[in-house]
Amino acid sequence: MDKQAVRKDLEGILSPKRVLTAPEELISYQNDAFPYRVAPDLVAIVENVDEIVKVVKYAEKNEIPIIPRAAATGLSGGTCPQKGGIVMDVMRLDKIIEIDQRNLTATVECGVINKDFQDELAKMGLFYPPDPSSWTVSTIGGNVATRAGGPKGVKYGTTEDYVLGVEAVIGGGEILKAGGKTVKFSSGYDLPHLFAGSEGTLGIMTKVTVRLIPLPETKKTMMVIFDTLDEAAQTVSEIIGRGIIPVCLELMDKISAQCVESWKPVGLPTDADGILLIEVDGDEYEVEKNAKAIEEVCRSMKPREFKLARSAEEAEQLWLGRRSVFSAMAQQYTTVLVEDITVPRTKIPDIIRACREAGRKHDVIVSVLGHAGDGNIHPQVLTDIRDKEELARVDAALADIAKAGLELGGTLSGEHGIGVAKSRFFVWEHGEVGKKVMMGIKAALDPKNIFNPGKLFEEGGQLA
Amino acid sequence: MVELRDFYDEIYNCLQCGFCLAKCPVHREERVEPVLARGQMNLARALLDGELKPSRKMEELFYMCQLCTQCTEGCPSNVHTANVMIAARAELAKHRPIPFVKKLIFNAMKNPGKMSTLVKLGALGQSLFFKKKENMCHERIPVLFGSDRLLPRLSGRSLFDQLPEVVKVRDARMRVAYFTGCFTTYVDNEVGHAVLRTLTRNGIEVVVPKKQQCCGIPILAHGDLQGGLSLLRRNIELLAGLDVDYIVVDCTSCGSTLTELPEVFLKDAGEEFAAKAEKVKGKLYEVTEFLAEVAGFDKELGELGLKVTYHVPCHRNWSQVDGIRSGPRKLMEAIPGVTLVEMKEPEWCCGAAGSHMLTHYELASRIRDRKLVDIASTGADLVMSPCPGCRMHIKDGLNQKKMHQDTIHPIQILDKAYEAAAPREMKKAN
Repeated sequence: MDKQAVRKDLEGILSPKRVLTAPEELISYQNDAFPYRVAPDLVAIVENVDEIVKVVKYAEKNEIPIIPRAAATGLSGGTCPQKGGIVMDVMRLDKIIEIDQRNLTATVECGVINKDFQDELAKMGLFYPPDPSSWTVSTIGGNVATRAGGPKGVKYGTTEDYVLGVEAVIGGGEILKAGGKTVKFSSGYDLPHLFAGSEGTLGIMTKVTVRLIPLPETKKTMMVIFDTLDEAAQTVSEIIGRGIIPVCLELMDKISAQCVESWKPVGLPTDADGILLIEVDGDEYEVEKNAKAIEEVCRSMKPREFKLARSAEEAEQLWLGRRSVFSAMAQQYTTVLVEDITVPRTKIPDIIRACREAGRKHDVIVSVLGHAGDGNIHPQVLTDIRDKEELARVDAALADIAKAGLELGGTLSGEHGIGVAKSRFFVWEHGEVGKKVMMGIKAALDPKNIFNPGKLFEEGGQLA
Repeated sequence: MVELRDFYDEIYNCLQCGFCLAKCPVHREERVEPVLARGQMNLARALLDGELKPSRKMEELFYMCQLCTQCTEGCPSNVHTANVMIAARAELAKHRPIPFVKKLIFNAMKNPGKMSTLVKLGALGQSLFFKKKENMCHERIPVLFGSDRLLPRLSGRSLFDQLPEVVKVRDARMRVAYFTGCFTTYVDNEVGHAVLRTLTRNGIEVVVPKKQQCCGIPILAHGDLQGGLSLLRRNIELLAGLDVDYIVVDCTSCGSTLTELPEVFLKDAGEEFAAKAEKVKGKLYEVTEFLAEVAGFDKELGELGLKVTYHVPCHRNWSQVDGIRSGPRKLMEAIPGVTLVEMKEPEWCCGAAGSHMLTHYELASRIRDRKLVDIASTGADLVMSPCPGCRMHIKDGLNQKKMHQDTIHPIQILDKAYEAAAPREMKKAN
């Protein structure tokens, strides 16, 4: 690629200030929250759909990869330009176009930050449940592209459950308008949901229309402490098995609790291996009923302790430990890799055992916590990206965890996506047929293979 | 001396999670990655690892950071971007000389005699070419700044020339040292007098050490690590040697520098010095928080009839009692007839960021526009803030937008309330 020529051409389409080529600037666009780095050739900062169309047409003609990127909080390297090319920064498409209270839908541009959107909705008594832990900074476009979830997934599902419509610039610079504001839709292929989890491989998403729900009236928070992880996991199955669906059902192990307590103590027991944090929401009657049923189940499992928050402050106190885990780990270890293997809910004890075994076998620290209520756990690998020898063992442990999850009937990713981090395991889950079908779909929308090439299908992504 | 290499682990501790994005005032306006703390960490890492060489572009990017420290508030890894930036700029200065004008000013700041002369010359120049506007001024003929841009009006006399070294009170209940800071000393003397009146009114004897110098932060921020640290060190030595119960500042940035930076940048200065720095840190408070949270204050206050809003300065987390958030609010609660109307984002940066507004005025104005809208929606008449940079920058913005509000240090409101309660016992401290 003649970088100078491309630069000149892009400057003509955008403006000189919005085409970055200095290595000092490109270095910021090498990676997201997954520590796999490759520098792009250029960065194009776009401000509207028209510019996106022009850049896509140009890139396609010259066969240059385009990697869409917004807040880049991804945990699987989805925005890493591993084949070089143009990183397209869409952060400036940040308008909330419409909040339609009477239809309970909203349409936003791809670069709108989840929290900014939620703040606007809350003013109107509305609610958009997907709440990835990066929600204060990550964008709706990125959330859709990775099918992001969060603690509330148990009851409310993940981003894909809210997508109604998508506008995207696809191959040929054509604008695809898929779906719309209707909550039912049985007209042809489900193209809007094709973009949920597409990780930038099908085109540049520019607008998203989502479904909203009314803000729940009230909630109740509980904490249950068990000596062993198995008892906690068993309790999760019991609760779900009885048909009670809490809004959150979070699990923490001993390593997580110890991490928190050695950093900023919040009073978590450091010798208990299964701490559950449970929240129910809804109207007064429903919350009361579900909280009581959950308490019964928990007590029947003979926990060491059961706590019910009596006030919002007490609830916040119970959440404090769970919320601090990430900081606590981040401040005690240089690198924290957050994985998101997901299994059928009854297999939680098995996957936790497998994660720990992987850690033991390869001599790396793997802590286990996560959204146990939906079978999605977060093995957190605590390491240091400067230690290449250890990283090789980390790579091996991650492969073991992936394999174990799939053997238990699970999936590689519950809410982070494949990116570069898990692409080497992709065929294990989808088989050659699945891979072929997906590549065929990509080819239909992106015949020149310019959109985020290499993701999902090509092996790579090892850290060492 | 501490250098960028000493921050190697801290730089690697950045997880690249991007949570700084919610906090960075510069990113909120620019929405591009290189200005963000995460991007800056990548750049600093590349410089240390030898992946990139010092360059003009690197300098431009490192200087985009305002050192406001907001990102650290939201950082899971507790990376102190501002400290890394100070070290990174110093690293660059080894290869790329600091511009002449900056050097000239730093030289004066490092030498009290020169500083005083420079300020006097500046005041003379301002009286010739600038027109007064309240406690600020603007150019008569727009040459450099434009006639609608308000600048701080230098006082012809430094505060030190107006005060004795010790301001005594009868039966003093405690004795404090007052670190006045450059702005109060050379520009807004009125704040200094208000601090002295309110403290003495509360039975507190005040020592104004005349050997104090610039705290060092403006110099540290621009790549002269050695110069800035020599000032910081001298101030710590001076303050630690005083026989006082407490130390107060009226500028939150001075407070942050004196309490937070010694352990980071002067950690190689020996145990004896570390003990002194620790002593100063344990005694130091911003003056409003000091009265509200530590010393207590006389509640015999006159009625004022004011509607005030509080702009919380970015340098707030050094406080030992989180009093920079609470102190001014508690004072306002105590004064009859004062209504505190909170703005939507009181802790959002106003764009001043010390000298950053001078070097990046256009960006600083865009950040400020958000603040001005927020201020306007409160319906308040006054914006209080214990940071001179914020007050000056917000005031300039209010003036440009033809808004009626004024800016003030919260201690001046307390001072007015005392005056309203009883005739002033002491006209000026001397």
